[in-house]
Amino acid sequence: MKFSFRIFVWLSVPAVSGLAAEPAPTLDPVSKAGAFYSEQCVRCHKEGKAKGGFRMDELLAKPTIEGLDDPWKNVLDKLTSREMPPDDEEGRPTDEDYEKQIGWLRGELEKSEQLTATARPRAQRRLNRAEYNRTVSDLFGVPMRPADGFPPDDTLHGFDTVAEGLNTSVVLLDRYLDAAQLVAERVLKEYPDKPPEASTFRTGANKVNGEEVPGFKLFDPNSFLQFGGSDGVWERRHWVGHAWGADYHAKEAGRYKVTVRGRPRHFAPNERAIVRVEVGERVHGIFDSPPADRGGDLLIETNVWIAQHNTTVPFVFTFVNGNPFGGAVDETVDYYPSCWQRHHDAKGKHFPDQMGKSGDAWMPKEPDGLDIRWIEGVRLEISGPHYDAWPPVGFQREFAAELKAKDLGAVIRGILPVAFRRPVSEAEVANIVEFAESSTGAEAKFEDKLKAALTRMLVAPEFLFLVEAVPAGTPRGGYRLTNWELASRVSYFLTGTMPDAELRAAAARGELSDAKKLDDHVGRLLRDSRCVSAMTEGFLNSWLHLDRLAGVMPEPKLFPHFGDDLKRSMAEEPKAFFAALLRENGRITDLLDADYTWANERLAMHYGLNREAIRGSGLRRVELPNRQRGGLLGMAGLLTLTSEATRTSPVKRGIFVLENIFNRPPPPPPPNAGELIPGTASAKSIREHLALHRENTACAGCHSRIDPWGLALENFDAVGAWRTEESAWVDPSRPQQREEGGQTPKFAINASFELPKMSGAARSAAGFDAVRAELLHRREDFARGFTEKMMIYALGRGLVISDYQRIEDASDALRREDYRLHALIRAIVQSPAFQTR
Amino acid sequence: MVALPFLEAMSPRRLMGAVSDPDKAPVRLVFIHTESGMWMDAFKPKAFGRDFALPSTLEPLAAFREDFSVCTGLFHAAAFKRNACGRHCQDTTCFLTGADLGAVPGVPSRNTVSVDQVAVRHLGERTRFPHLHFSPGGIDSIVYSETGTPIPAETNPQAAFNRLFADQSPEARAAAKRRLALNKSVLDDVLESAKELEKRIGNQDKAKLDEYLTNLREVERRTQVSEKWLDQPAPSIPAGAKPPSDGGTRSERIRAMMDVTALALQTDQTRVVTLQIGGMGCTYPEIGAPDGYHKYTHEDPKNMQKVDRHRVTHLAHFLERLRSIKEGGRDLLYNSSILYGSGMGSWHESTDLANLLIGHGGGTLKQGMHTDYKGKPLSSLFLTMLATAGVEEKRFADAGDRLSL
Repeated sequence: MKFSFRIFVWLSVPAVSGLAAEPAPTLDPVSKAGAFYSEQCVRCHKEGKAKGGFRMDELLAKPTIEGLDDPWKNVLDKLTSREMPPDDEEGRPTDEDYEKQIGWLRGELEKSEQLTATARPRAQRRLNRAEYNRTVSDLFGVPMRPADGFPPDDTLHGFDTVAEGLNTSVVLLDRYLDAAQLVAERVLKEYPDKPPEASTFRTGANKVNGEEVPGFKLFDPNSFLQFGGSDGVWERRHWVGHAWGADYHAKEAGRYKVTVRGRPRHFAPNERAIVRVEVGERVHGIFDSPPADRGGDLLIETNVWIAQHNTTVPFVFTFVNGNPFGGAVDETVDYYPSCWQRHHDAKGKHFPDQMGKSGDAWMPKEPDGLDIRWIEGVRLEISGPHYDAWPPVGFQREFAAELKAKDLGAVIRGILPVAFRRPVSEAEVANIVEFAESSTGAEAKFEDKLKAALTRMLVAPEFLFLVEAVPAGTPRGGYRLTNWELASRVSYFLTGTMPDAELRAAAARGELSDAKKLDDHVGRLLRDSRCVSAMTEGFLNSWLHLDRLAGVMPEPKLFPHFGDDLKRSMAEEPKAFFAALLRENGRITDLLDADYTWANERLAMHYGLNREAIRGSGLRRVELPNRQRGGLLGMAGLLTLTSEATRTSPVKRGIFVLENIFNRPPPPPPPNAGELIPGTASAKSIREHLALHRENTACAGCHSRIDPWGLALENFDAVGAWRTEESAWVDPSRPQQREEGGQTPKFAINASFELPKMSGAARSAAGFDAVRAELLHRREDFARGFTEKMMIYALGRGLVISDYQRIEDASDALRREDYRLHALIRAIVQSPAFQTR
Repeated sequence: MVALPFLEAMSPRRLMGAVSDPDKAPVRLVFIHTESGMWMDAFKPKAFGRDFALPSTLEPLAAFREDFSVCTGLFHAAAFKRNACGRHCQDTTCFLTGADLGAVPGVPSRNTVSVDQVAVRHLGERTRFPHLHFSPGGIDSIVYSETGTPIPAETNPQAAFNRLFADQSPEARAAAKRRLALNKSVLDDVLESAKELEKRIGNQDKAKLDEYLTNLREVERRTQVSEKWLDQPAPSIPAGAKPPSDGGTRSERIRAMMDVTALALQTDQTRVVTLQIGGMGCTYPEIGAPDGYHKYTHEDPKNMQKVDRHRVTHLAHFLERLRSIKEGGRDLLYNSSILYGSGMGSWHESTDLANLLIGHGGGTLKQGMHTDYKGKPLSSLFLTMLATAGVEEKRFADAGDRLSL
């Protein structure tokens, strides 16, 4: 068995030492460990017989563990999991022996970390892009997204909140400077005393293609059917699946109400029209109409924030209700001609002289028997700007008096502590004021000075970084965060933005040192909808790599129904599931197995559930009728992410389980590890290919622990649909092979697996249901892995040996409270690891 | 991003110093990426050495027989083996970086600097623009900064032409100056007061803060250079050159980008150019290839070859332009080193790749060969190219030595 598991994501992160200031520790001689290792390990791990490529005798030959942290950490992990020595060895150590060795080794590793840590500086954490956007929006009380143009943040240990990974570059600093000036200009824009009148633009029902109303330009790509209505006017009809929209010219920034009207035709009675709304090339949202039989013509209504004055914003709408005939969209089919074919067949004649250029199709009247689904009488209405408060920038309301008095010092005195997330000295205020005066010149207007001051403030490291000012000479972990620093940690952990007014007030009063009061704030934030969105976007997305779904491209020939709406629904499922756990303080063990999931109509089709009951795009909680789904591993998005374009990858799925469920990722493959090559001479299933790979002893060590988890999931194909047979793996994207290979044999799915022990005996079983039973059996390992992941996210650093006890404590708290998510979050905030540096 | 320009007057003497020969024209580096591979049977010559027959895809290069070499048997494995984003990664994200993106759990997934930016590191300050980077749009950038973040491409050749040859309006210049002036005073002030902050924080805890301040100093330096450039007039447009028209077919836009590239090199406004002429979903209805190229790579070698050959006609057009520009007794083609290719073969594989190395690198390259490099890294070819422009890098990605030509 390969000796290669790691405890956490080790890497070269400096350590946090014990709390007290201590003199530099000395490492024990290895001989102090006694005969344990030479008796228990050397037999199989020595020169000439280095099982798993690991040699214990080399480690024992060194005086101390110095410089050998990584191999010794592996040893520690093997002991902790009782994986080594193997079950079948005679004279295995007693539990007491194990604990003794674990205690000694952990102590040595902690000392070693302390010794190496002092050599490396620890990072202050800067805001990532999402945090920057939320922070400037909250600071000035107006929604803004200036960070969308920043270079993407790097992730380290899987998260983009890890200080060490949040690099700065010249490009980023250029963008910071530009963003600061733009934000300041936005915030200081002068508004008249009264909000401008809202105006409404409407498209009429009796206009044809190319309609143009002032300030409003429709575009109708080839998706239109124009039928003569009963009253002789042209009516706008869209069939589902095609995009249409309007360029809207907004004179003012503000909130705009967007309404789409129309009547769905040939929809099932309870079916809902699904409208995807894109605004300025971003998906604004996907909305469901009321059920088609509910009467009325209101399809959707939504609010859009337009951030710029005097801009033209493209709105694009798509009815995404599957294909025009009612089924899922097949990406390899062009529905346009087939719709026409169907229509012509129904009528038995063509209307060539009334057909416009390709795509424009005008009919004298609605033909009978045309069962293509469409929306008739489509109308669009945009009205605005609407303002919830005036002036629309919170900053201008809050500082109305100071702005009126043109008192630069008073404005800065008010805003600077909020921006820096701590009290500021009068000298700091004076410095900024002086900067504003000197950089703009004596004759400059008040607004220009204020702009300079705000720009300066937004580029200050105290704004861009969550500064934790540890005095020089403090030992690692020996610094207790101030109330203000703690407020920021809590706030960025839970809501991904700066502390709100209540948290700031509590910090000012010094209340956050009181565990109970701190916990009350955590409870308050956990009930805040900002927490659900920030943790889902920030933590869950990174934990499960959901962003990567955007880039997957299953081979369309094999998976013709894999389209954007399915891909999006797949990405939403784990988010909706996790958001509900967070809202309702659910059990994290539901992630392993559950009799419900979150699905919409498209996923219901994909999963073979009753779509009639789940109409529309919105995901809702669905009780599952059978055991084919439930828990993360039954979610199509994750199954797709862990597949190749043409086939499943039990290896990727196995790694996913080890990395994401247990946080015990296998080591990288050696550089000479072969690839699985689809054979043409003898067709094989993936299972057989992998079995061959495991015959190679160099590969077997890792693959015997990776592959079983993936093989157990073989009932899910490469896009996560349930299957009972698979085709031999002959890459269909390679026609050459197909010709040589001839017919591809099919195999019944064999989802049997044999798990190596992690902290129990090896088990054999088969199928998805059995693998979930295994996961539940190991739920404590999962709880620990999950705790580690969330601690990395919350602490903004990789974990080290000295965090071991804190991790244990937090996952114990989780277990004690029946694996309820809030228990873990509260425990992490209360942990010394979170409150010290 | 518009690259920050550098004052020619400020730097060449200082940077090139005694080693530069004033009569010798500088070597220009051009990286042309086709994306998604090509049909190798029609791209690779059958014979090796000097006497190979041009395969059908390369026939448009008949007039340049002695100006290029076919380098086959190259390997781009570090960029492929365990990358995080599937097979296309080694060809797009990693084509010019050769990075191992580590689909391996626990290994940070982060790209590294691309080879063109390594060249910019050494050559960027000698010209008005450190780098030009074009793509017809709709595709991900293959250019990555020193910190491994993507740098977007210019998609509009007309805008690039204007940037190269048109002076800004006085109003725009004044606005830009105001912006720069505020940036500059902000930078000065932040750097000044950062000393206070540094005092408050123990040495062992300011790793990223130091990085931030170091970068600020660099931005400050560049701001000063930009400020000086604002008053420098743009060079005059070479005789006969016209601004490219806007829009057109994909082929027309690609040729326009190549024309602007030739003009930029001719007027020595940059010495490093990256051209992304491919794109997975790109279509060429104008030559009867209406479907996305990527589709052809999976099922239609015939149409794949049609597009491959069509792209080589663009290349021939570009080489013709370079050859027609005379300088220092030679021509621009002689003074250039050009890479043409992709990180994939016929079937998305990363082994046995073929790329073209074109131009004479100012006399440092011996051309007209077809050589099998038997598994040497593609990155070795990058090292060779850098060396022709006097950039002596010992390593790049998985390569520790140059190709012996």
